[in-house]
Amino acid sequence: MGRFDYPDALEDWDERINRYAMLKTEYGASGVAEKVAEIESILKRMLAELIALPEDEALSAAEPNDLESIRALRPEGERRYWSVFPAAKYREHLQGALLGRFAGCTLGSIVEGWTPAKMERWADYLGDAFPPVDYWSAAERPHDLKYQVSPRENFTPNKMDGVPTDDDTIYTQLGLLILEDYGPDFTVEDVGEAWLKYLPYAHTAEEVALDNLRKGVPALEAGAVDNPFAQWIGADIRSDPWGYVAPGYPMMAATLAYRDAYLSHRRNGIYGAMYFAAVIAAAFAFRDPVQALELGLQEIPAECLLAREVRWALEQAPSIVDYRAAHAAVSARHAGMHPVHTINNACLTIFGLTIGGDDFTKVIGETVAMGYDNDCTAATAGSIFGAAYGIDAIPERWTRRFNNKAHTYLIGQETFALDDLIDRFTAQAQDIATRAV
Amino acid sequence: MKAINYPENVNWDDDFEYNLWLDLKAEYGARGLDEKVAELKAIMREKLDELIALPIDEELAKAEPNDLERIRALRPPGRRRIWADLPHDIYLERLRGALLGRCAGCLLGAPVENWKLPKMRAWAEYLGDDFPPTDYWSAVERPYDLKEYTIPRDAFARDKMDGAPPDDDLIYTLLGLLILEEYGPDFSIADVGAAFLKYVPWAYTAEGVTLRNLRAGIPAEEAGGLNNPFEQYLGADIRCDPWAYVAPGWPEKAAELAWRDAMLTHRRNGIYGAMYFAAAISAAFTIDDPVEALHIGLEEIPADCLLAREARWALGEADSIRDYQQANDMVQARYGNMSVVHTISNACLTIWGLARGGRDFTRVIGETVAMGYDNDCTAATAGSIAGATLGADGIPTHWTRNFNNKMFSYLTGQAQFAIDDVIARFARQAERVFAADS
Repeated sequence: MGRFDYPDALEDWDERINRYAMLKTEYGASGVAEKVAEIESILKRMLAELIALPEDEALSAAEPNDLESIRALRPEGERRYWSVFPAAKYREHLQGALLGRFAGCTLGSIVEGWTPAKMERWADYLGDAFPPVDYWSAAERPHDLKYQVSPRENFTPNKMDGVPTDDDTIYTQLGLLILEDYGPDFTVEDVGEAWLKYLPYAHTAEEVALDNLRKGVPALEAGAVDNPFAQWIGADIRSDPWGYVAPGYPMMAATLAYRDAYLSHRRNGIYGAMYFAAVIAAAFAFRDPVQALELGLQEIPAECLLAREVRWALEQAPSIVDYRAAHAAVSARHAGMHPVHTINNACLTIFGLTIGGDDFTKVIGETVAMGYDNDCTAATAGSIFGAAYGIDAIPERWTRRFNNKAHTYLIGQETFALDDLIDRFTAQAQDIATRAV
Repeated sequence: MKAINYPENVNWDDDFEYNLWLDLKAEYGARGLDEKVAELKAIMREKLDELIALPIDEELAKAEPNDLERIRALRPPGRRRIWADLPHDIYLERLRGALLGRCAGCLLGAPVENWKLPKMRAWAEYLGDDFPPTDYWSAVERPYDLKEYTIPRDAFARDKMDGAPPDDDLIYTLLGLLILEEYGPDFSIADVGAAFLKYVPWAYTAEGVTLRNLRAGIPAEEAGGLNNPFEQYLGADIRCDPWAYVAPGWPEKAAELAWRDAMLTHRRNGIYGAMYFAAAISAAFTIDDPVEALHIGLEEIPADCLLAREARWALGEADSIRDYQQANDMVQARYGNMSVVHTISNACLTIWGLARGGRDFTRVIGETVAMGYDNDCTAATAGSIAGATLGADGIPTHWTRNFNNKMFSYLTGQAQFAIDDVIARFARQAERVFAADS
């Protein structure tokens, strides 16, 4: 049974109204534009009524948006595991996390949102192993640009030269820029300013927030106005930099993630970012991704939906043996939920890590094979894996063609050198290690 | 200048805002959502009915009748019948040209159906193919994906093709043949409906609506007029070829058969599109200039219907069209928001493809595909008309060599046809049509 009773989506009224409006126009009918305007105003009024419907107050109380209330609802737990900063170990694990993220994203990016069945057909056509054990040997629309920068064929081994562009990688770099420009005490307003400076465009919740910022809506409100995407995965995929600069310090990672996420998301959208930031921070300290997934729960409200669903996923994990089982379990439990939501994708990320264990290729291959927002899930899974096991646990074929470069669509920041990224994250982490929350 | 000023759309799409909020409110435990949705649906139903009931322009309606007698009364004077008898050898050669020409145009366009011009150009450049194309695409996007649930799209690529793969622009030509064989040249609209139910497993836009209506027990004469905002789209137009193939040199008859077929699913200009191109193809059998056929076709539809006015506009502009880009720009400027699968806009592009290509078959279908819009439909029709004027010998062999005498279809129980057989069967039906009226 589905976790929610989503009401039936509206039928194709839009199509029928638009098509009839055009046909009637072709037949020279009078009053078509007025009728369409009337329909639009009715729709606007009814949308406002929908948005104004009272929500479950007990649930709202369990899912606050302010940091103090969130902290008050956390379970008990260790907030910091590393009291000293182990520089050499950190660097190896940071490399693992960053390159693990880039590899997971790059594998998933050109099959983003595909169903497992469609991926199976594509792999079969190409003669590639499935779940994949290397990058796809060809891209479906090789000439098509991802984010107006990287042709899709640049995600394949023969054409790859540097990490190609994807939103799952550029926000990691943006996080670093925010830290460098504003310091670790950056505010939500600072994040907003950085977006206006660096982001040329964005999607879903980020797009709404960016549009609001450009219209002059204050940063603290930009994520709440006209934003039905408040619980989608966007903030979650921005969580890595906060884990990278607060290794072994989940509470700090979650705090930084909170300030970043608040710009564009609310409730479980924020918790997704806090949770995975905390998980990544914990993964640096424990050579065990599953333990990190459990410890991450200590930084989000105990009874929020994400926490409940993460616990469900961790309980189910022993019976989820492969991508098909994972896809089926999530499709059944989260039926009707949008495929780029925080919750369903968090469960798949967890299943990818539990199925793959200490085998990096299996982690990102199975995670991608599960579908849904599979470049996001594989990126996060790869990041957690790399933070836990370090760069040496990542087979060289996944990183060989990165050639010390990552391409972005951030304004004025077209390319990053990977070793430079590592150095700069390390500098931020060392700075934060000397501070208390 | 725009021929029609469409209103702005009600801005709903896949991620329609109301639906997104509905999900979020459900996640936040709001109550009363189903009631809200039911309320909105009821209001939208009511408003849709009001929209449908808005009074239409009576003058225009008079100029665009649906019944055959009134359509005929509004035709210009014309050459109703050019061939009194079937000249067998010429006919067979040109029939083969028309059918193969239709297949080639369709198959060149199908992998890039409805693509924007920059996307087609980028794809050609990536592949190192000529653009406008001078041969089938050397590779297709999504090669593993099944076309019409039947054959991987790979089969549309130059070196992968073995037989003409299935496309709706081809299967309706075959369906027309089946209708003639089963019901004879006097088939009724109801017979077409029965054939749809028997042979068409699924369909799109107007055909999809009609099929649902037929399955719900709506009589064939009404099935195209109910819940069908697609009644002027080009679905009937792409079904027009078989009627010309069995009434060559007899535009009036071709248009009449096309009318009976089109009435199942379309109205007004949706019907005229089928009649116009059926008449044009029929005329093309008898002449060497495809553009002349396009003029003769106008003699079988109401003189002042929108299609006639726009086809005259397109014919008048034809000499000024310098290239495919300009053709696309001009249609975009004149028709604005009109659906990209509409009869009118695509008829203009078909006309310009033929005007630009003339008797150079490769140029006809290459330019037509390059113009975009519903370019497998337009190139199929242009290929059919060009093929009927040129004959099979006029089509360069690289367009047909991989057909290997096979056409695949997704018609129920009719998965494969032999091209030679299809030609012989059309010829038999043509003899019946001529015998019935001689």
